[in-house]
Amino acid sequence: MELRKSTLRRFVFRSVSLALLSNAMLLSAFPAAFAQSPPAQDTGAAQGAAATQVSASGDAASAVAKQEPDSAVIKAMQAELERSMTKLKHAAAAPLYFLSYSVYDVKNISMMGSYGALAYDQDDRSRRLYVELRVGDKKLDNTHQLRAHLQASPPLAFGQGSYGGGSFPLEDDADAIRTRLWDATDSAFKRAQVDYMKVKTNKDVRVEEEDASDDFSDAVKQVHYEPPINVDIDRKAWADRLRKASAIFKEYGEINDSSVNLSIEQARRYMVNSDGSKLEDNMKSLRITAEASAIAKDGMVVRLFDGIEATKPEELPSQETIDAMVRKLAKAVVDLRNAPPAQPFVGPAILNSKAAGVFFHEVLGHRVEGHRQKDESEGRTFAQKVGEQIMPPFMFVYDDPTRDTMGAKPLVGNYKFDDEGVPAQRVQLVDKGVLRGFLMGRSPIRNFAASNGHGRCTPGSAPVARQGNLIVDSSKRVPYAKLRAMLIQEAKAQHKPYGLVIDEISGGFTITQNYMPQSYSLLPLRVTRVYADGRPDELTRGVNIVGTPLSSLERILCAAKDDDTFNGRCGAESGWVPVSATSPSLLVKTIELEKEYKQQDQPPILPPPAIEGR
Amino acid sequence: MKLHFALALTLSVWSTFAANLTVAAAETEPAKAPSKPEPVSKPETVSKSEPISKSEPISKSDLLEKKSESSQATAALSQQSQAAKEEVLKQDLVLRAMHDELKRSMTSLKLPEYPLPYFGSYHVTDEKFAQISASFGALNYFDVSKSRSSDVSFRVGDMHLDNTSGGGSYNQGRGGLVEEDNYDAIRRDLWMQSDSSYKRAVESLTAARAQLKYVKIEDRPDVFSSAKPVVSVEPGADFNYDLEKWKGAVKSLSAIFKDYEVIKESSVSMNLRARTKRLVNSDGTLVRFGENGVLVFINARAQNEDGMTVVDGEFFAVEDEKDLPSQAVMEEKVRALCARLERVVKSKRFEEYSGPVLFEKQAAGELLSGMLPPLVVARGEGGFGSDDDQKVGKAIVHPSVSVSEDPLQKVWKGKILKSGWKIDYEGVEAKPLNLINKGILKEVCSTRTPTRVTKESNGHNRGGAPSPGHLFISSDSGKTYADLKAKLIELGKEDGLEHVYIVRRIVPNFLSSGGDVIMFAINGLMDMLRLGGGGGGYGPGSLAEVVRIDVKSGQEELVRGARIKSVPKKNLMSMSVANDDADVYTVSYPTDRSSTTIGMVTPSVLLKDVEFTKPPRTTELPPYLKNPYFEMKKLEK
Repeated sequence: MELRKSTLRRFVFRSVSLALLSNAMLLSAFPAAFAQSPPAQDTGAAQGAAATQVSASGDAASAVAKQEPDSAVIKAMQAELERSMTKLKHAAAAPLYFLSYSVYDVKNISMMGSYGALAYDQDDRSRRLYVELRVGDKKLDNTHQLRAHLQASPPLAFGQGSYGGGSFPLEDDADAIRTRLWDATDSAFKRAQVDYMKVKTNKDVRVEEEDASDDFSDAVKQVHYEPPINVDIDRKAWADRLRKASAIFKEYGEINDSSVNLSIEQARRYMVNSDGSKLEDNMKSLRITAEASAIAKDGMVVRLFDGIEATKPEELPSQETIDAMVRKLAKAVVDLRNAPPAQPFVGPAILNSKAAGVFFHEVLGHRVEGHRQKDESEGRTFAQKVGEQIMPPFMFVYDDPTRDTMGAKPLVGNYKFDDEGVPAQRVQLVDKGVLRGFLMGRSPIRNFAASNGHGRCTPGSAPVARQGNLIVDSSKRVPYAKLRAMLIQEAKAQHKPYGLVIDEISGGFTITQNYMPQSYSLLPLRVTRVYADGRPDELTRGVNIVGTPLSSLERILCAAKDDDTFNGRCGAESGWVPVSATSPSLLVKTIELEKEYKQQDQPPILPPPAIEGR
Repeated sequence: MKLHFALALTLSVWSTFAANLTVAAAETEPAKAPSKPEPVSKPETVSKSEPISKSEPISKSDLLEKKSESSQATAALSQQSQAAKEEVLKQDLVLRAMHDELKRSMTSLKLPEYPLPYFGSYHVTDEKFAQISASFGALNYFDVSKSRSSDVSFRVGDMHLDNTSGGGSYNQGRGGLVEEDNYDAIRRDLWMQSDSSYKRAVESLTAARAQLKYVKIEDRPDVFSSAKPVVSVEPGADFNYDLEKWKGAVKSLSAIFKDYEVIKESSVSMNLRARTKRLVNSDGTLVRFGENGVLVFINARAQNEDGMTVVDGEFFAVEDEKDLPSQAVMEEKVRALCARLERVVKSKRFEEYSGPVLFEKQAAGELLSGMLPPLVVARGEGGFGSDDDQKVGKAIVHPSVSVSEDPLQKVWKGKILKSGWKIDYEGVEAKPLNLINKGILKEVCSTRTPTRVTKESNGHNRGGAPSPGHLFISSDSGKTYADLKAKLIELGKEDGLEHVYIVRRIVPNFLSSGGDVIMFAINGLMDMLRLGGGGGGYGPGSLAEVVRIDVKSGQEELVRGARIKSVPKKNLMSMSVANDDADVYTVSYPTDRSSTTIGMVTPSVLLKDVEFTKPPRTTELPPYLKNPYFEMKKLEK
């Protein structure tokens, strides 16, 4: 599994738009699960820069109604922004027309229990700066995509006008804050001038672009304030819980690596931009996860995980609930370790609800991110298909970051304002199988001129259009038992000895660029054969699901009445963002499995020391 | 398992000056381990005295008796001391887990058809580490972290040929351990790392044997040597720093830069560390000790109107925070740094040069730290021995120059030496060495891996590779600094040069481990790449203060932008070394395994053939706007 992770990371570096959905055991950057309810007004499309919307929320929302952000950080940012906009506007060849500062004050608590011991208990705090600076005008600016020959270099991504990273004062010291902003702005401004010249030349020497949309869209000025929060827990009590829960794995000699983790992440965001927007709000995320791995006799490392999300400490699970999760996980790992390896296969399958959510995240979600529709290096699978049938007419898909729960489950892709300061909006992507829209940041595309609040990033990165809470719905639903019967029926019809049920998935990735195969891959952990002749089901391991998007979506046959949510983190060119994918279980006519990479080490020579001699 | 990957420099490896011999005979309660390692009996600080004889087997009672007599606190392992060792194992749960799992591995870890390991060792390091950083009077980074890491190694084969032969791996099992003293959990982690380490070792051994069937190697050295087992148990390190106090101190130092508009970017960082190290090996060695380290890094960058940036810095590195200079002295040093940068950034631009150069004290330390150590450490570890024969018995520097090495020495002329150790990474006691005598290489720093010129270790393995700790460079030439300066001008005249140069200061390479310089470098490099040019400034290791001397008038003038292009090794054979201005400098010394430091006692040196190159041609424009702080200050006036 370790190598599998490495392989994926290599892909991430090679391919800027590749995305990976996974839980915390893979790379994690920063969760942005806004705790508050969505804003009252539906802003719709941009209403012109002159308009202003003021909102306040939080536990003390009524007391601070219409309070504007006025912290020392905001004031220092505002002062430096105004000075820069005034003095730099015509300081060089290309005029400065937009400037935005975002600072994220991030606090994390991480605790891990392992084998009955506290493996670590750490917390950290940092402030991360992101500067977005645009020169030229909104029709053509320094962030415009540069096109190049593949042999020369991969095409550059959007967001070249950004400046992130580096240290930022942890204290509300105006002199230090303004000095840091001054330095970052100067660097961004110089770089923007160079980039703008490159962009203009690039446009002159390359063919006309297929989508001649502007580079930037207007947005309504937003002023929003939330009181500060401080999420904390009883560390000692939680250390004991993690010790107790992780000690359960000692009962399972086949498991060689395991842990139970508590992760609390919170951030306070400060944002000002030259549209006049000012935001000061909070983000937070809490989760308990358990993971365990074992080595099968053939050397394959099998690893499973489970997790429980919460929006506040009181919602974190009890010791009994955590212990039950750990026991279930441990047994599942042992079962999987002893299961036979799966073989390459093409045939019918049920994607159980979480797996189906990840399937839609990869196959559809990334391909309807707005900026990809005009990126000449992208496959643009759906760019010309608005209004066309792309999946069966009983299917519906939308993305709704304003929603914070699905039943009792928190949705981690919930937020109120995106990372460009635009209010989050529900976006209908597919209606009765017909493509209706895209996820939009402030980078316009043909026929979609405005943001719908999906410009997202990890703190310190340039935002692009990303998913939030992707929700798949179907008007053709049957009970799960019926769906299973339909699977057997389909296997028989296709003369296959068995169909498959995919019910545990670690994540997936998709490649959207047109200079690489535009395929997707899902990484199932548990694959069960359901035999057409009535033999008992057989658990298998060690395969990936592969395919291409258009044909995969057409093959959905039916859905079950069992919606469930996969909460995870998605990595792409703007970093890691928390996302969810909710779906019913889906019966798919054909799915293709290929063998996954397998480590070659034998299981450990000696038994675990704690159980030797038992 | 989470590992701590700090940018900070390793303070010193295996430095164990505060020695307490603490082998106990008392009955113990093994069930509950302390969170911080305690001495196995009440620690007794030992006064400095003669080391215990290495040839004399020492019993437990001997140890207990001699602890008040010896600062060495180590003893040869004998039959009699076995009981004392067992007492230690009862009391230190981490050591016990290491010992028990190593014992199991040495007797049972075996694949069919392959041998058991013939040697194994476990290192476990507990570390608590704080980083504080401030800029322009405000904190911009603060973090306290804790980690426990391991280094698991097995050798399969024998001392003539094993898995390390032919460049095969040795330290195959590095990883993290649970931070808590939990016997089962620690053994579980060591078990998995041992399994992996052994399997890799078996593969490497087979590869080495196969290779030897098809190549002939003359005079192939052994791959491992025997060493006397050592039992030395000292208290772990305490992390008792007043972090709030140090936060204030760091902020205060960083605020000084608000008085200097010429400084475009600056930062002050501080690292405070407490480490407890443990080593158990299959020879019977059992070591535990604590070490502390405190570093203060100050970095600053200024920019001339022509775009050239100049970087300089200052640092203070000590083991005990009490040895740090006072706040007033550090502030004075920061102001001196600012004043120096102000002078340098306004000075004349340097042009090309080739000829004699006088490197003054600090600059000599930095320069020689890159030239001397590679000549005095055993080469050819790994592989089947090196083809690069070392010149033991031959002249490698000027006949007036001698170099000694002593990791055990703690003070030189009242100044603290901070890079020493008593027991090295392989558990071997350190020995002082006379490396170079009157220009002749006499011996080299060695480890347990033999080379063609070393058969056994002299206790100089630091983190896996041979390294000096404290190098003392001296000369019997009788020349003073003034003599060297006169000689410099004389050489210039002989060569027909109009000018000669003195390097007063080199940006300490040590600063590159401090974090912010790296950030400078990364940010600067990224900026330059975006602008499509090359690097505009010059960073650690580059020349911070260079003076040009008119050979006719003797007039001195500061210049900026000079960079070393080459310093041929032959300079060492003709070098002149002053004997009146030696001082102590802590310099970085990256071995192949870990970045460590060397304490260099170095006088000024004159080299005859040095080439400087022009400043970078590509530079970044100065900022479009003034720093808002200085702009407002001006308006207020």
